[in-house]
Amino acid sequence: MALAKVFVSQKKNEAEQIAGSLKSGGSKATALLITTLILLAIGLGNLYAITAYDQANYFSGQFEHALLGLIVVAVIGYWIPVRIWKNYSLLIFGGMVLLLVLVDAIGHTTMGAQRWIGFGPLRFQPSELAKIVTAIYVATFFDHNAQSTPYTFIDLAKVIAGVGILFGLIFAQPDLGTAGVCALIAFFQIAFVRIDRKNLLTGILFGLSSVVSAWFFLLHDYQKRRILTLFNPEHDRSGSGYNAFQSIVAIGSGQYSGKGFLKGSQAQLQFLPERQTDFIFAAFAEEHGFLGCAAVLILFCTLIYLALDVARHARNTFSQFLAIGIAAFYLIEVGINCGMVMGLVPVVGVPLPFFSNGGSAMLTNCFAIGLLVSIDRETRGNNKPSLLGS
Amino acid sequence: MSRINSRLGLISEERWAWAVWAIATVFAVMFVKLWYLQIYRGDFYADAAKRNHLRKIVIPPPRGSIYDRNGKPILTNSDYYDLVYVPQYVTDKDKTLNIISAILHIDKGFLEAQIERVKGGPRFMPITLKRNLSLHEVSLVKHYQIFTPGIEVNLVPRREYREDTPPHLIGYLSEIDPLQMERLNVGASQDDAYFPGDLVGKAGLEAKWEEALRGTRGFKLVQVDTFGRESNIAGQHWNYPTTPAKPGNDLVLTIDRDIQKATNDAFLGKNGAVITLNPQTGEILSMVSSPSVGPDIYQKGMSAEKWRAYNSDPFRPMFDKTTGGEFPPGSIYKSVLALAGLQEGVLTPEKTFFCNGSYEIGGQVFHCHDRKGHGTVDLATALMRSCDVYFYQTGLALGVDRIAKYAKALGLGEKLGLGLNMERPGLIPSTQWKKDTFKAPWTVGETPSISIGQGANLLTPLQMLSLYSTIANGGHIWKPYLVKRVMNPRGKILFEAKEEMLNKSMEISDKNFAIVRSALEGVVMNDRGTGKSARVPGVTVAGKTGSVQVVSLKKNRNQTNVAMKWKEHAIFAAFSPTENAEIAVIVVSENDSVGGGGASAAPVAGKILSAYWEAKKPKAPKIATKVEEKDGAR
Repeated sequence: MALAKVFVSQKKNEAEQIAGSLKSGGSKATALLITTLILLAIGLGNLYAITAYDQANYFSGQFEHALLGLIVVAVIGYWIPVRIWKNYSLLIFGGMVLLLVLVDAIGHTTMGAQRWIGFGPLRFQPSELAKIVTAIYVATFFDHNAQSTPYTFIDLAKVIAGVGILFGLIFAQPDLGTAGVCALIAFFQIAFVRIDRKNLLTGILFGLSSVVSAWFFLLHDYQKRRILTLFNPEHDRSGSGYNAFQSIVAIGSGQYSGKGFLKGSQAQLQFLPERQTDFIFAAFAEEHGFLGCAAVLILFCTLIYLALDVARHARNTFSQFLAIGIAAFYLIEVGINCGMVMGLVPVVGVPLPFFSNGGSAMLTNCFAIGLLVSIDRETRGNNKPSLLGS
Repeated sequence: MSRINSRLGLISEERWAWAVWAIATVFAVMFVKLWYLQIYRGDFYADAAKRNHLRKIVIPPPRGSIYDRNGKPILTNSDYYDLVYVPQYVTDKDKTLNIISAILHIDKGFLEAQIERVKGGPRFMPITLKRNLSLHEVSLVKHYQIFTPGIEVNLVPRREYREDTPPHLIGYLSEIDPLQMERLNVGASQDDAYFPGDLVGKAGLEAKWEEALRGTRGFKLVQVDTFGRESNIAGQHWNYPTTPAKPGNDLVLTIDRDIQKATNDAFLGKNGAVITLNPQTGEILSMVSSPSVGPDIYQKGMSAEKWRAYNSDPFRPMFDKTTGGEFPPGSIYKSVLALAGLQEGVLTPEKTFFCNGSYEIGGQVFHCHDRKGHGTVDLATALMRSCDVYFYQTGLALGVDRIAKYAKALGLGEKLGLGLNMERPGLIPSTQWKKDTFKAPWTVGETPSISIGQGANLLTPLQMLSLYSTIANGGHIWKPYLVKRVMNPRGKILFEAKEEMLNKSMEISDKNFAIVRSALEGVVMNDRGTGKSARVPGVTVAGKTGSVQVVSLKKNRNQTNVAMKWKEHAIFAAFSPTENAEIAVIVVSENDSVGGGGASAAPVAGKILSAYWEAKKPKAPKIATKVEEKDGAR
């Protein structure tokens, strides 16, 4: 703890220095954008490599999504001021709920779950965007309900209920991964405020009992099996443990420097399941080894740290909590996705930002980067180019 | 309250530190796990990945070829066309099988059964639907191939059985059975071990020389995807080592294909065994057991009906009589008596016995085959006319054990060690044998029978031949052999056979061998001899006829109207020329003798011998001049 304090105080000094330098031109936004672009380039290259021999052309589609995503970053980051999201948060939340209800009612079904909604030729997965909507919703709550005393459950009832609605609707699709990410984002944001100790203890007990009841009443069999194989993925190699085992074989066989671009036998010969989406990091690890993985993880770590730094220096509660939510979003997605391909956490459908194939996820990731850029620019007080600003 | 020192008053300062710790922990754990998987256990998983996507495919080696002593092929391999089904390329199984069934007239159910038999195997592995397609069938399959993806014609090296391939000698191949596989695989490495479905020599030279003929299988690595399909994705980046199959070693036999053919032709239509060999070395020149089953029948598959027919045939076509058939030697055994009598002083060439057609001992009457009697006979006449009474008396004078002693000295009564097709030792009776087997003493009344090669005496055709070649070469018992040398496919000699003397009969003097040889020459060369139909113009031939009673036919001595299975066996043993013989021959013709031995078997030997000398004639001067030139140069 003492170490952490030293670390934090150092960081604080550093941050102040940076803050000083920000005014002279350099910015976290630049660092964020550079990190994002590097990750995006690696992610696209990797998607190209591991699906090079596939009949379905994932790469060109994803490339278009990435270009669209960069436009989103520009629009969200340099055009729309942060407070717009606060002002319209109720509308955004309501719209999200409506979309999720629509998905449950008329959505497309893939892999036994209804996740997609179509607008003419376009298909969209609203649950991906719900992750950011959750962050906006919780940030708005704390902006409106700032208090200097510890929060009790009654104080937090509204935000828990709101997040609960989102969670429930996504869970009903069923999509445990996305629902869990939304809940965890909210949890990380709430964790930054002080909570009454008695309430905290009750909350922990309530949480445990709800986990137990969820196991018996809510979880599907396939989800239970996935969780069980977490504890011993090599035990059942042909059944539900097959995916987890092949993923670990792919990562391990990459060894120090990997098998090389286009040479990953596990991915190319399709031993690796879902290699273009959930298990893409295993495919990357196979071709690029420990060195490549370390580079990508350091980039992700930098991105998350920058997001947290943006939060720390944000000017207002909403921006601060929104940036915390986004940092949490990246931490959770990277942690769960990489953790699951390595066999650290159960296999749940969480994409790896900028790597996994999928337009909705790509746009959501870029949306989040755009918000961070926007918050950073707000902090530095140059929101001038904004058209909607006043 | 005091801890709320954030600028905005909502977030306590320590939460930022917690957040940094949370991030650090998440990434640290991931780094440790990555290190564990990729560095610490990297080799293990790299191996697991290889086992995932690489499959070892066996390339069967072609078996070694078999050549005769002059390098003429006796058994080689040919490429055969097999119809195969490769599951990974088949788009519509039902349609494909319908087409194949229609164009090749094969029952669709049969095709489905072939595929079902290996269900669950890898999808790149070809399944054989039909072996040995004809060229017409190949062209049909090729014609329809565009409609039948996944149907292919594979070239497979397989035994090419010629019309003149000697079946019993070569033996046959058959799929290895589990018990044999277990036995052969003891101590074998993974590469040498037999797999189920491998062909293995089951009889004849194929079995005896299995290890030399077999070859070493090769392997190639095939990359497969998760569905078991062969995949060349990313294959250009990887070079997989291929171990080519090493063909089996070739055998060069002592057999002469021309003599083998002559033997076969001469014995055509008869049942029994014929062998020829070189009496100076023990090299077998030809070997026929008749009737026979073509070895290709095992390759093509035999119906149950055919199997029963072969098994119920009284002449046992699947049985090799040359080494495994035991027959009473009959009159050809008289040479043993002659040698024993001379050596023991019981006989001299001049000593005569009187034959009045029968001989009585202890109230038992033993007839001569000529009931009119031969009158006064000496040794030469007795052998020439095959007088039984002469040898009854010789046998009685010697006694059973002295006969047995000389029979054993001549190498009879035990295996000669050719080791082919269940070689049998034969049987030479003695008092000890009688005691051991029947718990009874030998009675004098049994001796006359064994003196003329009847009774308990049993010899294989190979032993009969060895006996006469021993007489021809003056007492050397050579171990008969068939394989002259073994060569690897590049012609390097791996094994060179040398003649091996089993024994030299010290008990019998050269002089006595010479006396018997000249008497045997009379059998063929004398106009009154029983074997005169074996004569060959220009050379001397010595031999002995024999006929063996299958049952005692008192009522019909002339055997003019006898069912075939009651007829006597006709036997003829010969060598040529009388001194320094180059070739010895034995003919055992089952149930073939009508009223005497020489009429049926001796002409067969005569044809073989004349073929042998005929073949030698044009060559002889050529070789002679060559040798002279060489000598002159020196």
